[in-house]
Amino acid sequence: MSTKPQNSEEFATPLFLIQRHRQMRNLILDYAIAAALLGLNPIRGTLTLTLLVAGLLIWKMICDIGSSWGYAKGQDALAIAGKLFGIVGAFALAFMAWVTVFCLGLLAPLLSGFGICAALFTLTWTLGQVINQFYASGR
Amino acid sequence: MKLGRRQILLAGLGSGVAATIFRNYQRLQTQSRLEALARQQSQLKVQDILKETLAADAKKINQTIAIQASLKLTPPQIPYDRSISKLLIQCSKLGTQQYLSGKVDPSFNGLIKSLPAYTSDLDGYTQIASLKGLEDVQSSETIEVDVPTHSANNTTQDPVENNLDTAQEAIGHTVKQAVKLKQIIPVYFGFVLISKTANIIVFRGTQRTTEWLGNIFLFQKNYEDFADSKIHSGFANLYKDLAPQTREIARQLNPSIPCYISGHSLGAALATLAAIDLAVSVPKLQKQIRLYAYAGPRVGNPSFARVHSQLVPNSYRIVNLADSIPLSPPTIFRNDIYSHVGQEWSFLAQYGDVLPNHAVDTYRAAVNKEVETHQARAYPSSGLA
Repeated sequence: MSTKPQNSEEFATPLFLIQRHRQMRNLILDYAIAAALLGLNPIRGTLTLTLLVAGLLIWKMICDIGSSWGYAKGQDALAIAGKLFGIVGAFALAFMAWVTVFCLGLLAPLLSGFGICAALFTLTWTLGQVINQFYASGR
Repeated sequence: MKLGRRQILLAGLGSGVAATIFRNYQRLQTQSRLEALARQQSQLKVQDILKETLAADAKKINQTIAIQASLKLTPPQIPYDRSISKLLIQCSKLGTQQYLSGKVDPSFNGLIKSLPAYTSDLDGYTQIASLKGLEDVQSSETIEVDVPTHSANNTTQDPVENNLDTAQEAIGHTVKQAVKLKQIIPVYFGFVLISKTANIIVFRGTQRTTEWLGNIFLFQKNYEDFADSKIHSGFANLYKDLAPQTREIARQLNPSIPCYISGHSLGAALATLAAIDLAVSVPKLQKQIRLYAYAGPRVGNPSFARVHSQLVPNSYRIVNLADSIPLSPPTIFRNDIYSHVGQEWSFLAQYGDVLPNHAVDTYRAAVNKEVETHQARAYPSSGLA
């Protein structure tokens, strides 16, 4: 094992990785904002439709992330488990976001009606991060 | 200027948020307008609403009194017997002591003759059975044991050793070692006595946590033997465990002599259920059953009370007017209605608290002094009447 002091430049994050990270972050954020926008749909009786569209949006985001990584394969067991638990966690977080904003709405009635918006933003953002992390672990 | 995707999305989100807040604001405005209108209207009707509320309150009180007054029970055919009452309240005391003796002393066999409250008045009776819970329970008792210490009389020349001896002695005298013993104890619920002149079945009052829980389970359940009759669920469940052995013992009793069924507090409730149960399941005994219930709570609804009084007309309810337990459960509890059974024989012993007013000893003292009466009382102030 070498004990030679490492040059800090050797540990500097490669530029393409910084760019990739920024690109993915922007992509996920755009989809999350779009999903949040869907959550503000004021027409009563269209929630199922809203959720379906949000689902399609999230699917499109997953495809875009995968495509950006060239659908990298060869993930290890930890990455696969991380993806599975991450998906479950994303739904749990979305639920918590909905509960939190709903309760805030009870305290401050002006803020009521943002629960679905917050939940869809959280779900899309978290799922995006999970999928991005999964493809980033590929070879 | 060309707008990017992010700007369009943020603009859309901002518009959505603004629209939602505006909608919420409008809704709040509408709501506050409606509230103001409702307040205005309610002020106009406030006198009517107040009148209705006060009338409903008075109606509730009068309803309770009306239920109690409307209940016509079959009166006893045999007069209240003070001498047997003295014996029965003594038996209630013995019932408690029987349970406690069984709890403390694993070798106790349930015989009441060895108990402190036993007197020669019961010498003419023979105990033929003890009523026991279906299962023995595991009880955990903490017992203090003196730690044996060595006497430090022999002082030595060594000051350190002398100090150690003094410390050991001090600890030995002040600290007691708590030893936890786990043992299986029988749960006695009462006993059955026979003589040439009478049979006595006695149930003890509340002692165990499960029984306290049973007492507060106020919802009524159908009394399976009679339609429309409903009884206290907690008492019904407790008696269900005792019913088979009570019936079996009752079948062995001499049907030509009186059979006194008695108890204090929870024991009174169990005795009330046992009396009607035996009147139905052991028909040869029915005419001989006499119920003496001390400090008993209400057990069933008016229909149950009527059937009970028909089947067990010779029922007496001995109460301390300052005892709050016979006032429970309330006559109207949610959708359930409770009524007492038996002819009331009352006395007044006020010690200023629930437990002393309810204790067996309080009832025993009053019964022994023969102060309980069935006569109407003239109170200094009669409130609503």
